[in-house]
Amino acid sequence: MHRQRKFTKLTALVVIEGVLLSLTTLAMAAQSDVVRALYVSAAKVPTNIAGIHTYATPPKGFDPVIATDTELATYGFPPRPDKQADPAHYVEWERAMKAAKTRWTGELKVLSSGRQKLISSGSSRLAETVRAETGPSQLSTTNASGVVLSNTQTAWSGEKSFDLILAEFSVPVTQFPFNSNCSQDYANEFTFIGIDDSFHGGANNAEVLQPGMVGGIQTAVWCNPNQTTYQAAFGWAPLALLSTFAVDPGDVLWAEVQILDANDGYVYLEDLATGTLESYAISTCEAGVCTNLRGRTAGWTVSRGCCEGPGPNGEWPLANTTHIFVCMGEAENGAGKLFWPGSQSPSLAEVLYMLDDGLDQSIETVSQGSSGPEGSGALLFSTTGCAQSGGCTP
Amino acid sequence: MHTQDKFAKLNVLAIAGSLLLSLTTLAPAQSDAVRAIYASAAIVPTNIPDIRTYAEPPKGFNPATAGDVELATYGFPPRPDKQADPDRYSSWTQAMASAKIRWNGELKAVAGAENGSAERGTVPAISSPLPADTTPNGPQYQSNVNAAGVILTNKLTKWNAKSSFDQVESIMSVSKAQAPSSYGSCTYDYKEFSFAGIDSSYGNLNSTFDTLTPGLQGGVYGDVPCSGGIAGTPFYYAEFGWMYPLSRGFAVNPGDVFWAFVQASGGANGFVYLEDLTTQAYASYSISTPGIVGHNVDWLVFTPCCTAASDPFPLANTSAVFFDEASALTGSGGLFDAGSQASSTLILTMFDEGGGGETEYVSQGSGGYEGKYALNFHTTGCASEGGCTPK
Repeated sequence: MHRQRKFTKLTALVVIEGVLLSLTTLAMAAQSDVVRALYVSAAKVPTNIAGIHTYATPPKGFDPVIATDTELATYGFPPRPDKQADPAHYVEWERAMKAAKTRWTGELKVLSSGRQKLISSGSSRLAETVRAETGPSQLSTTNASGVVLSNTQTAWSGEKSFDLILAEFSVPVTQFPFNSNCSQDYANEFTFIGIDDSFHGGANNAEVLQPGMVGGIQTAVWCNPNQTTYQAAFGWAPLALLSTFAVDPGDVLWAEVQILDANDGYVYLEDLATGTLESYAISTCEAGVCTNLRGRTAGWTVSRGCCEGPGPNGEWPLANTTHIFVCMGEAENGAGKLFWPGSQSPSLAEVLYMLDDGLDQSIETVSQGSSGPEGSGALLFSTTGCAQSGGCTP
Repeated sequence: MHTQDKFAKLNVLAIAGSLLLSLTTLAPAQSDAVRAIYASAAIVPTNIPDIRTYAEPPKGFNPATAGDVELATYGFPPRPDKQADPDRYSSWTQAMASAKIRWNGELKAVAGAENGSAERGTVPAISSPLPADTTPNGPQYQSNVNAAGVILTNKLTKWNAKSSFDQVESIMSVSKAQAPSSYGSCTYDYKEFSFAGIDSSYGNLNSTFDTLTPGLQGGVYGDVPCSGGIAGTPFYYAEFGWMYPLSRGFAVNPGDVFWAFVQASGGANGFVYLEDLTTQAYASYSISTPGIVGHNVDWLVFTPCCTAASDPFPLANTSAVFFDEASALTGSGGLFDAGSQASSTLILTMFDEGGGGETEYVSQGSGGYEGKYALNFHTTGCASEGGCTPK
């Protein structure tokens, strides 16, 4: 259990006071940097996982909709979008803040099958990377489907790096492929957003794993005993995935991931149907050794866990979710420039398709749009092939 | 239970056989002939007047490989043209592959009809918070008190086999339905109906929404019962019909994905196919109607009318309802989608009748697959937080 004692609250308030004083003399342009720093410094409540802290419980009657930016950071609520520059995000942020009722304070659990890395499919049905001239590149993998936006950052930049990503997901019923008759003991699926969470092929398609900061929903199904779990989850790739509160099929999850600097991130998860929420600050430093974030990719992805499963690269079987609906997908860089999963830029966007272990069929596809609010921000994931109808190997 | 005896099956096969003979010489008219089978082959009565269903297909029947006549004979939706309409073909293929469990249960009339109240269609907000006709060259915005969504309209006043809208479809999420987060005590059930439909609302841009045109609909209904002032456990059903009364079919579950396909098989007959893609349950019906015009198709989140005070029932809080693969067709094969930016497109926002502001709004796209076919509905304001009238 998190420790949320009076001491922590007092510490948080002292931090706020100090920052507030400095804010009065800082130019407007620097304010966001100060508030951003507060998301790191105000996360004083330790969790049971090293490097991950959460925030003090806000006082009774606290209303994030009318709270100041400093108060939002202090109590771990996501930053307020600019109402004029990004009205759609503002409307959804306000709706999420009004729905936020219950802060979850349970113990984080490491999801043993939740390790993530993107595995390129090698001799794939799709060309390894189809560099399109008029649309996003297409890349096949054996464990991820989705849309990944990339820039060319090789180091963290306060202006050019992706530093914010968000989306709303449906929580689908998760099951084994139809007709599988318990031929698999276990299958899982992780719907998530993340920054720096994906493989980036580069000029020579070298397989490079980019550890990243992710948040979303992990669902899993077991055959014996028959059991299905649905959990909000987040993680920093080297630490694997951590599960937080349970969600239910039919719920809607709001996830937001923010990179605060090269070594700190922030994840906010809220079940809009139940009003349950939690937020964490995550350090990429452990025992004095830091892994630097670059803000190079921002992705909306459905994956299957790896790397101890029965697949050739340790993939676990993909669960059948029929369709997963994503809306309000959006990313931002430090300069405030907005990006969407509907990007059609061949230099920016890659569309990933997940293939089965035999590399002969798609098992999870994604549909993108291009314009208008849903065309920009919505994605439709579809379980297909043997992951839907059965017969995948193994 | 439906009567599905051998006699009915023989009748179906005889009808299909005679039509097949004519189809071999009337290739250009094939779609008309096949369309007619959707009405004539539905000879299995249900417990609701004017609604019939289809004979069970033979064992091993595979709709994905069946001929057009076989599809019509056994009540499966027509196969879209793979080349001309690859998006709809893909949706159809997935739905047909998942159609495994034909539901034959007894239909139930919806509560409003059971109560004897005169249910009605979209109801205008009396003092509309949204100005009508705000974008002369794009979709028109309307507010009302019991529907949110997108409506495509034309100017027809009677059925036209070529230019009337004759097909509409969508997949939709079955979202958790609940009372607002702080509802105090309830007086009525909280309801929500997500559907695709033809003619299910008044579509004349030159008029207000005061006049109801009945329509043909299929979708998912969620109900949070109110008992003794306390909101109870919600239930969810496939629901369809010619308004009114609507009929309730098989149960669905939150988190499922549902596919609804609605077709006007002529001015006097409609066809509705409903499938839970998650559970693989499906059912299809032929419905006699007093007259389809095909002057609009719609994708709506709706709260039925009427309470004892003739108000729409309070809207259930679903947080978000997702539609996708939302498309429509005219008789001549004209393709339309829910992302239409034409000035003949209406976008409805639902408002609280008691002045509590927006309660349900829809987000549309315009370009690319998701821009054309995805809609995202959000419950907001007093329907999410409490305080609407009625409660």
